[in-house]
Amino acid sequence: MALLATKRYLSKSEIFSQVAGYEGSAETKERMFERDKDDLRALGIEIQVGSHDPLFEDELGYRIPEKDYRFNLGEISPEELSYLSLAATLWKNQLFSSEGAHALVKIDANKGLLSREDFGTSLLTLEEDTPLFPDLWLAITEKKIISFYYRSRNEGERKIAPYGLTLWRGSWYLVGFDLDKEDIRVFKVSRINSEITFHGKAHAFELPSDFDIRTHLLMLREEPPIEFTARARVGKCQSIRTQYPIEHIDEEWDRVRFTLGGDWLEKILWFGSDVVLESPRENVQQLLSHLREKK
Amino acid sequence: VKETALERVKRALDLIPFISKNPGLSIEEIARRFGSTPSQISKDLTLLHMCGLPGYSHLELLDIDYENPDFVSVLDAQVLDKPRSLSQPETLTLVLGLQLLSEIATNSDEVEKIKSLKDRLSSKLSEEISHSISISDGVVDSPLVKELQRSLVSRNTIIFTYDSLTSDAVTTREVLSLELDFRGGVGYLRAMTIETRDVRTYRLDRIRDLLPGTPIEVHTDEPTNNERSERLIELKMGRDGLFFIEKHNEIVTSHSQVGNSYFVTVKVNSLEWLTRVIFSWPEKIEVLEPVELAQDLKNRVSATLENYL
Repeated sequence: MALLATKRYLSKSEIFSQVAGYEGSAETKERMFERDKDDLRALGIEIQVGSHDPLFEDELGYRIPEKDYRFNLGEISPEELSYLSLAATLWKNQLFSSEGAHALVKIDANKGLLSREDFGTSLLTLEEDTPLFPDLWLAITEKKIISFYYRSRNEGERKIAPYGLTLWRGSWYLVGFDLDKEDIRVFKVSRINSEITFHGKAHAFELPSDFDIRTHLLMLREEPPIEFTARARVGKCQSIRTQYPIEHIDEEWDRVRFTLGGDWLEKILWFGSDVVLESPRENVQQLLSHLREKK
Repeated sequence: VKETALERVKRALDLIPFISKNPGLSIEEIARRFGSTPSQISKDLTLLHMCGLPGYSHLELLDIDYENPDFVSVLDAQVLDKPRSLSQPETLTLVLGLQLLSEIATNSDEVEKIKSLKDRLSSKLSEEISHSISISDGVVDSPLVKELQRSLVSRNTIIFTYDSLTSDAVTTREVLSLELDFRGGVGYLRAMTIETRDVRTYRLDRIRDLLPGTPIEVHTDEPTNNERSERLIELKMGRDGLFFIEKHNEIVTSHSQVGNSYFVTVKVNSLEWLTRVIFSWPEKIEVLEPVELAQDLKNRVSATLENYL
């Protein structure tokens, strides 16, 4: 509070004599002072170091600039406050739900509770719950090597330098440098089947300067759509009929042309015997061999 | 988990500006807002009452009135009258939250407003944090989200036509919305059907012609019809069972792995839906129980193959 209230730099001796709590030998006070500075920085509070006396620049002083300490997002409309409130409360992961709650308290301390619509607990679910999120976040921000057990076709332990996290369609993905495979790999966080184990000290690796998380996400690479022609049983396949033009064949069948992506087999099989695929020929063959395997 | 001294200092620094701006709240309400307990907030206020600026006379100390636990106010906040600036993780949480909101916003004016707010906040994020965390594709856009959100809050029913993939039919439903959920890029509405009291999940992209209904008193904690008709099904699958469990997590009640096989038990109220899921799954799934479902699947495979003869 003293460093925030002062308009000029307070020297160390002034702080020791004026602020309550600094007692003991000079060495003890020095240790307490260093600890307090670290604590303030850990709270995200910037301490400005400078000199207020141009003739004695050696004697450093300390203060906390008000503009850096205080909440400042400029003018916020009631509508924007409502967006911020929703943005703060829609998270399921422990880290963001807790940070969102802290942010909301500051927002309410700035404008008052009555200035925004109170949404309470969000009724929207936009991400799956990810208990490992805080540990992964810590590993990324402190650049610590981690290991974990991963469930996949090649399940086993992975040891990685974690580079980043990304949310894709409700699931979190961890991108990192796999130390055994010596390459960047993507891991779906919900498939991590163990606690996160930390190895060694912080700042164990450097993030490559050209690192862009999106370039490593295979799921973002779009597959070209495939054009299909099929017979659809009359009165069936409503979801296809509502989207594509239908050509009547006879009492039992209509013909329909539509496009699907990489999940075409699943989508066509959903309709069972109510759809008969006609083309492309290679897809028809693939569908038939799949059905024969299921027999 | 025991809180650290720093966490307590952080809360204490935020308490004073919060109470200054919102006088008259009870200790219990303040505790709720701070995710703490009333007894902890009382201790914080007692500690803060002894803090202040150098000099430490009654003119320099923080002056807080908390004698009446139902009405707390700050009479002199000294220099702590304004909240602290947002921390980096707090800013990041809001930026990513705003990005998700902009993806589900329903009109371009709203999207622009949310994006501009997001940009203002993003400028306060360090470059390193911005590079380390992102949203690649949050949700699928649905023009219905706003109306559905409104019905969730108002507890009014809604009426819509639904293109059901399970029954392969288009029907009209009146439902009470219970929850909106976005998984795997698809939006789902969990809602209670008014006529049958079934709780069902509807895909947002199959809902059409949404209309507001009427306010209704329904006790959603009563057992629903579909809970009464749920059935347990036992399945066996290969290594891909992992992906089945992941994709259909909400119906899986137990699973175990033996060698390269997964044994999965699921609970469903629509056998037709499960039959289509199994039939269209890219790998072979063996139905262990009930035998009639196993037979039905065999019949469907034969009937489909016959179409190609």
